[in-house]
Amino acid sequence: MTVLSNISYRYKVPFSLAAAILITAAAVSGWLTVQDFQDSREAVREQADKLATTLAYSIRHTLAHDDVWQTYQFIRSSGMGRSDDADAEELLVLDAANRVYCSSHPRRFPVQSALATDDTRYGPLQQYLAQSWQGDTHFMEDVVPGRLVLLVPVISEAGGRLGTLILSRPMQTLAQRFRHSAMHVMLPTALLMAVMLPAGWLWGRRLATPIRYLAGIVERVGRDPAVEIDIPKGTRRDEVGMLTMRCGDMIQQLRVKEALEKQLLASERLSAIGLVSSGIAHEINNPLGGMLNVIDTHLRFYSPDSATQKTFASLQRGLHQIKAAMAALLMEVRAESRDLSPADLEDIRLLVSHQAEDKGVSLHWHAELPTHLPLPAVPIRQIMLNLLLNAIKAAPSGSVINSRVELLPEHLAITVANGGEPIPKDCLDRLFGGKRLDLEQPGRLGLWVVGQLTRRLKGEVVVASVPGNTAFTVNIPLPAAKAGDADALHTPRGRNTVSGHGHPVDSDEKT
Amino acid sequence: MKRRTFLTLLLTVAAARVEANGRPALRIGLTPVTLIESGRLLADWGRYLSERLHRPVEFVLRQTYHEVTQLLLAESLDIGWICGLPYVHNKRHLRLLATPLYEHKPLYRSYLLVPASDHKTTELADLRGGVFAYVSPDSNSGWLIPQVDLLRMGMDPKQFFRKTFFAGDHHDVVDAVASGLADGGAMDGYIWETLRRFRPETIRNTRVVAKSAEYGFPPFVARTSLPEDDFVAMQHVLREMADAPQGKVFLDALNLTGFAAGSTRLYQGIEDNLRLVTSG
Repeated sequence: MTVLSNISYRYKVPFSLAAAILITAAAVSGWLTVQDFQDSREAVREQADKLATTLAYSIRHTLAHDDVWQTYQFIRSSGMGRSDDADAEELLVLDAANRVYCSSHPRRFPVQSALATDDTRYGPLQQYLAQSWQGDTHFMEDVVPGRLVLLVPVISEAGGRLGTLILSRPMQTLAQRFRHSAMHVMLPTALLMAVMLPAGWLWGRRLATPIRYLAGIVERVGRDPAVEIDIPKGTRRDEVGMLTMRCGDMIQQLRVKEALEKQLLASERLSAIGLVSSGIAHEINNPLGGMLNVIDTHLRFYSPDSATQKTFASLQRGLHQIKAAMAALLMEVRAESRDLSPADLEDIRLLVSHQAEDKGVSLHWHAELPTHLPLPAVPIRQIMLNLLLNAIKAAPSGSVINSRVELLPEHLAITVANGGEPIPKDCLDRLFGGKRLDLEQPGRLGLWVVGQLTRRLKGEVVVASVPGNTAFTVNIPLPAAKAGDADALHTPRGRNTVSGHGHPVDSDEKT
Repeated sequence: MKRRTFLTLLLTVAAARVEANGRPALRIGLTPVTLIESGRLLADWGRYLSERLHRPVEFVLRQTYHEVTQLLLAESLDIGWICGLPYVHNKRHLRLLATPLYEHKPLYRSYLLVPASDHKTTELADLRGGVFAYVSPDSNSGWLIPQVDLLRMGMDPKQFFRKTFFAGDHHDVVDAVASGLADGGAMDGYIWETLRRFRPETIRNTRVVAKSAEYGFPPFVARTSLPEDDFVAMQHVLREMADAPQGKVFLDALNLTGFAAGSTRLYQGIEDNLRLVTSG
């Protein structure tokens, strides 16, 4: 049964249908054949009965008058005796002493001989007549091997038994009739089967098609993302239609679930990171707070010179940045929400310049920003910082990193481009929201934070990576403009940014 | 049997009482001892006789000699062609008209037949305990002669054979022996030879084992009350058939060579046999 259970419905349904057709046809044709044969058998018996009874009546006078010749003439008039074959029909008349009186085959059954004198097949019948027969009319099969025998008593007008008439027919007659009946039934059945089996097979396959279709869809569940699995469509109202509808619902639910899982995963990551980070944040926030207090005290009470003030201010901004970063990781935005200013951009440039120099990478800087922009400074500073740090790590020594900040009519565009090996496509797909955060890849956490911060700002990240140039562009919509879908991430073909060496870029050159 | 019934009807209707010159038809009784199964031939012979007798002639076919004899005795027939035995039985009431000539002799023999497959039997004694077919109790060749033969052998005819039966006519004896119903049979040799000449397939499955002595050929007899003129006229017509071209045709069809005036001496042998059987 296990083997049968494992057979595909593609074969199981048509096979079952074909088997049902075969079994039904076999059963019906078998029953019809048997019925036909039984009817034929009854017909043979009835015909034999009529013939024998009529003859028995006809010969009672000739038998009563001991007229062998006339009795023989009656027998011959029945048509028997024309063939001497051993399988021919035979008619015998026995006298009251059960000796042969006359027969259709006188040489085989001599007059006044015992029944089985020359034909030993009739031995059992001879014995039966002598010992068991009650003198009634009845059929016997195989008492004479291979023959159907009818016994009819020949009764005189006075009621006495004058003799016995025996009609003996070969069973072959019945066998021939059975064969005829079988052919009569089987042949049309076979022809019908020749048509119905292929039709049934095709119909079965057609019946199994929607199930196979659903099975194909369900098979992909758990293997492929739900968003890539087609939602089955159908208008049927039967069980398959119900399954189709429920399957579609399931795929829909799976899609929602996967989206929630993504979000949850992101939250879990943040939560996981948060758990780790909270501990680190505590260790960082405490000294951070102390350092900020020291700087504040120094600035307030010790009136430092302008260079020192400038330095302390920069330090303050940096420390606040670190505090904000901690807040971003912990999803606790306790940092102040202030507008982005050119100073923030300058701070970032200063922060990353040294690392760029250490790596041997030139930083081309271009920033177009009015005095203040109604965008939150802290997350944008973090975005720029992470992009630049990532670019520095990725860029080979001696190459150029181009950083560009442009204020466009509807959004702020931050572009960081570096040379070096391109990002593999499968990595690109997972950079900003893949299911798993590959912490072994350098910069992944930073880029992931970029993604998260960008989403929070309703912006988008565009990545273009070709050999020799990888560019990240973050577009943050301005408060008055509509931004695109924060989850929309796409990787268009590569863009080129060039020029400068550690300085802001005035224009782009396309290669 | 069907054919004979048809012939009886046909001839009775065809030649029934066509009164020429106001005279009634001359009724002649026949049995299948003749081989004339062609209704046309009988009708032609009837016309031939009628022309020469100047009166209509009617053939009446009956199955057995006994029937013809009874009709003659009842004067329902004028003339009959019967076997010598019923003539001998009733010669006081029947008048011998003419004796057919077979092979130019008014004589014939009885044949003892066995199936062609029987190569052992050479005489009647070999058929002891078998099944024997006679023609009829009125047949000299088909009953009387075998009875006499057995008596002369010192056998009881009633006990010699296992079973005997009467086939009714000579053709049926051939049939009974050929089919194997009878182990042997006795019949008119003239008929057997005529069958061999005209219908050899009918005797193919039989073999003649023995032939009897010669006896007077089955005669044409007339009722004793038949007017002398009619008697003489018929006798003359029959005797002259051998000289008439058309008469020869009919004789040949009957496998005969002519007719002779009847002589009772011819049938003495049959009478002697009858005496032997009835006394034994």
